[in-house]
Amino acid sequence: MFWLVLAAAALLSGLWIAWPFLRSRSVDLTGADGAISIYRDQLDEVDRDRAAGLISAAEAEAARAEIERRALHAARRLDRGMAISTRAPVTAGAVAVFATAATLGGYAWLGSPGAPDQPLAARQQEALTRMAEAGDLTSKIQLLNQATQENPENFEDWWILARSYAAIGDHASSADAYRHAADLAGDRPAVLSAYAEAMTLANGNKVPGAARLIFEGLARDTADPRARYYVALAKAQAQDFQGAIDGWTALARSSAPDAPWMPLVRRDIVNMARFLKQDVTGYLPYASPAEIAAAGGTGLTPDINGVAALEAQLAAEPKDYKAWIALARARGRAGDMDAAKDALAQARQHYAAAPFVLQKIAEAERALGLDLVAAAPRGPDAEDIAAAAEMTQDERDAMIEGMVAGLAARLEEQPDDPDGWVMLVRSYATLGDQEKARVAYDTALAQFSGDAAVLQMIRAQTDPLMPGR
Amino acid sequence: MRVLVLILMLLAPPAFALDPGEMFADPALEERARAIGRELRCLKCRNQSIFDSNAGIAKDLRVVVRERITAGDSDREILAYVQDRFGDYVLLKPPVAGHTYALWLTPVVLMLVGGLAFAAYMRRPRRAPEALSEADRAAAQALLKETP
Amino acid sequence: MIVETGHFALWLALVAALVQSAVPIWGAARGHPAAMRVADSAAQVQFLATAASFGALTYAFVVSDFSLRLTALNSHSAKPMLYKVTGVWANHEGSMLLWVLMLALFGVLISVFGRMIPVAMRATVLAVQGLIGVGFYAFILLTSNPFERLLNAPLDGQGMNPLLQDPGVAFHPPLLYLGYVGFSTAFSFAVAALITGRVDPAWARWMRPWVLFAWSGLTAGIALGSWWAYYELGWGGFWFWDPVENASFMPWLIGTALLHSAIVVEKRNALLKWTILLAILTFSLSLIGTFLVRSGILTSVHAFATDPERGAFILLMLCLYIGAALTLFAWRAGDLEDGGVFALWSRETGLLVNNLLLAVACGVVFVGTLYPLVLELITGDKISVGAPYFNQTFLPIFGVTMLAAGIGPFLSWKRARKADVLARAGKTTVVSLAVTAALVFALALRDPVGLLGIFIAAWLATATWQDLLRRCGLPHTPWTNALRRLAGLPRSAWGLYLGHLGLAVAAAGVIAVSVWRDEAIQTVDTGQATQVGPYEFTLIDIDNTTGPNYQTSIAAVRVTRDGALVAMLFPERRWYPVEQKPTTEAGIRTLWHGDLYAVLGDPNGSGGFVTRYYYNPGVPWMWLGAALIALAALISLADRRLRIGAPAARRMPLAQPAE
Repeated sequence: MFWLVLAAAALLSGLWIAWPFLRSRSVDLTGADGAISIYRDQLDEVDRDRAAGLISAAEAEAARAEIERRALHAARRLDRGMAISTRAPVTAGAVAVFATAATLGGYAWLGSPGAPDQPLAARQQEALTRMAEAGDLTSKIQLLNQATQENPENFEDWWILARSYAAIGDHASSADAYRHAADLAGDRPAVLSAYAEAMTLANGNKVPGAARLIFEGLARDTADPRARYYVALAKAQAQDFQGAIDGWTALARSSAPDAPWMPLVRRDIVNMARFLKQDVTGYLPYASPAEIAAAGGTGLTPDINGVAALEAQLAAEPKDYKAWIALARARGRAGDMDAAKDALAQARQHYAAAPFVLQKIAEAERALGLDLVAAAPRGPDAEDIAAAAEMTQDERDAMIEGMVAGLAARLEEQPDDPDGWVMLVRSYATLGDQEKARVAYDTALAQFSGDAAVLQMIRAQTDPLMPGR
Repeated sequence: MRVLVLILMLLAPPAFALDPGEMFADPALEERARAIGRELRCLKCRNQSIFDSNAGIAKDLRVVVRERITAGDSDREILAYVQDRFGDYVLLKPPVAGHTYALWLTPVVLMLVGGLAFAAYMRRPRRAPEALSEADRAAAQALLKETP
Repeated sequence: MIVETGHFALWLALVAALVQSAVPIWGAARGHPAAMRVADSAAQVQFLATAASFGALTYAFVVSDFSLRLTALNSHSAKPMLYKVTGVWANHEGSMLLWVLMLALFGVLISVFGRMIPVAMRATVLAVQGLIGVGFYAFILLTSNPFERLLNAPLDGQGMNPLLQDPGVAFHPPLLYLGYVGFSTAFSFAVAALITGRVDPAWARWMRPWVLFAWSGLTAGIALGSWWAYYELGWGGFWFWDPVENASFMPWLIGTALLHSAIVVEKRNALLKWTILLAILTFSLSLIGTFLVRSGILTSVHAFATDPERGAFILLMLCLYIGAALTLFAWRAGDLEDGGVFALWSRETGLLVNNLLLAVACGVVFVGTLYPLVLELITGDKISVGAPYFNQTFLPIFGVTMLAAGIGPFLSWKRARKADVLARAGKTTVVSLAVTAALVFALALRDPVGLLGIFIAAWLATATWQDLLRRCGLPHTPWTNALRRLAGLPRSAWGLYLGHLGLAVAAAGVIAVSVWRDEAIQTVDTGQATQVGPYEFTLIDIDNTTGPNYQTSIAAVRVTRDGALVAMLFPERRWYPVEQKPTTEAGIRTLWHGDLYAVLGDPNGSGGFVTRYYYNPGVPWMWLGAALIALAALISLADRRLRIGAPAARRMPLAQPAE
């Protein structure tokens, strides 16, 4: 059908083009009339100028003579009269067939016949489904949102929607979806428990009052391990540390050793035991040596890998914003928000001039619920520059290192920034760190290996800084 | 000083052609810095002077120019200093040298060629148009008289 | 299927152009009228097919069909509708399609409105147009096919450079192309003249409307591009002698020369060969402009294509078209008879001098633009040729051209009275000197170069008025009579006066803003005032909000003069998240003598913002002047004698048939 339409269009166009061959009519070949009329205009202008007194009588006469001469010349040279064109159906046919064949041939060669239009409006659903099947949670969520809007009575949709939100870390939306699911499920314990957990996570892992009520109810009526865990956590967060560790211990005792929640529970028991300066084996008879060691360590809240290790690492090398954030998270998990805040504050100090990292820190702060007075990412200002001029050498070095480290961190996450790489290489080179400069240089070249123009730009600006290149 | 340049470089988000932080307080010095800056090309950009460009590299160069001014260099010395380091490419007004003679001579040569061609055209021998015979004139007038 | 139909239509256009370029030439050579008339029908089919193709591509952009590679790379579903449509030509492939659409449009206009052009000439002209079309259709289909499909269409497009999301730049390419491509008609007429051996006043009259039309479009296009740079790039610059700008400026300069020399052909049957050469050169420079921009040999916001294959293809076409036309010129120009004798002091000489000056000016721009490229190719040396070079070489030549333009109209055709002309030029000098002196005392202006420029602009304006008054018979005739004469002036005379006046006004504006701009750059907190020349700018407030596809900070800036409120400016700083790019929108208030111009920069982190404030005197004059020039061309176009379709057809037996 498609081809039929195209062929008809091509043939019609071919006939249109060939149309003059199918008619007979006479044609004025030279347009001598038009040429003469121009001279007539020129004559008029001479008369006008003469009338306005712009030219003298003699000049006007000379101009007239010249125009007459040219007009006569043109009339004699150009006048070849009319020509009659006769019909030439064969030529017409040849032209039409050529046009049709060439058009169809050319299109068949490069076209994508049969490829349908795909306007976006018609593709939304299909595209979302395709992406969702490929594992894209955002698309899945969008689809489920549509489904729940159309049919808000379907428990299954709400349930999967809530879990999907949880999977992408949007616990507030997750909690909301769980609430709908819980309504539909008639307070089924598993649903209620998931709902309360989502509320807790949405609240920065602090058990809110409503969730606590749900958890306590569930813990009373059912053997839901999650409810029991969170009841204990809520106790910890309410300063009832002994109650918390007892709760967790009870949960650990009644659970199979290989239950999926056991690592978490054990970790919390170990942390809490150390915090309370108690013997961990009193709670966990089969505690591993590592756990016992961790529980006996100093410091506030050792993680599985040891917050202490993080702290030591950061003391030696404070330019590692990821470690600072990890530390803050670990401290936050244990409920010591002041210490977490302190970690982030220190990170901020080290990265004062690196907006990208400041943004990351702010994100971490929000995730921990510390952002009541969140500092927005901040650009430098004239004061910074003035301050830089007055700093001691050490202070200045520290500031620069902070900025360079921030730049490096940003490029690690957003490497598509040629100017940034150039700046990084130059910064390292200026600071005399040839090794890092070389690494940055190589990374940048590898990053843009596919783009000759960018490569050239980078090389032009950084090659002079690279000895031996 | 190098370090301060680096700080400036890292601090400034690449957004604005000129920012107040780098400017001289003295308007006369600032005027000089801009006059020089208009002669210098932002290396990454297309025919923009460093004073019109947002690029970081243009800013570096502006800072260098200001440094040289502070150091007491004359305008010529500053341009020579920059040219030394970045080559002819950085000068928006190319230097007059072996490889640019053709460029600088172009306007002169074109004017000369035009003038000579004009003179030749005006002095070429011209045939006086042959006068029309009376009969031809009458025919021509008849031709021209016919009004549509 | 619409998209595929568009692709098919593009092939149809190519085939139509092919037929259009071959059959009519054959017909003209063999005296076969039907074959010549195929030029008309083929031009019509070619235009309809190209329009259909362009329509299909526009449709794909409007409905965000990302199964096209082009839309996927250059559009985005969240773009405002206006920029979805203008996005069609804000990329390489689409802009080339617009190019051929214009070409086909000119072809069909010639076939429809060129009925009075004799069929052999029209057929040859259209055949040359068709030949140009063949090259560009092949270029599009083989190296830059806008209808290339993607197997897996992405969910959304990659957006469009936000700098280009602006009404100014959105309509800049169509106007520019109107000029570039419009000059193809001049080229076709010139080549047709060489082929048929017919060059006479009638030929010039057939060609001139197309040149006027194209030139008007090019003028508007250049001005629009300049205007866009002025308010969008955020530092108040409007012309950078950037190669891309020069590429459009060169055809303008030579096109201006062509416009004037064609008058000589029409009125005096002189300068035939020169006019043909100019016609060829004008379009050649348009092609070179296209090559410079499209080949990626330059890289700037405008130059999108970076594929060397395309560059090679365009270069080849360039050599073929220009080379063939110039060869034909060398071969056939000798056969053309050059009539029209004129004296040294005559309008003809004046126009010839104007032509030479414009050609030299264009030559300087040409060499300045290409010199760095050629030098790098030959020796590997990299140099820059920027504004200082052009200011030093181009401006003096153009200054002289403007002086000449002033007295040109004083000269009468064929032979002018020298004493008369000199006496009138003397008056011009006195008046312009008085105007300049008045400015020196009234405004305390000192800059000598600026004053020289003001003198030249005043000279051109004065001379233009002088000649207009004289044409009306003033001061020797009574007012009523003069007014009657004024009303009776032909439109082409209006074109002359308006065009020259426009040039004077624009030049005054350019000089004023270049020499006497006031500028202040500072970090300010809200409420803080800054003095800029006689004006006081105060940052009142900053508001953060979102637009259709961007986030923006809008500042309110109050401008006062001696305590009285003059204007509120609202400069913006936008962020386009899809493209990850910022843009600035200047806040501008236009007063009759200049612009108040404010730009909002970055926040300094403690509540303050970097701001740039300007007082740009003369800028409105620049735009007004450019508008007058473009309008002047259109008014000339409306002259009865050029009016398309005139003269009325008339059946009459001519004296003796030649055979």
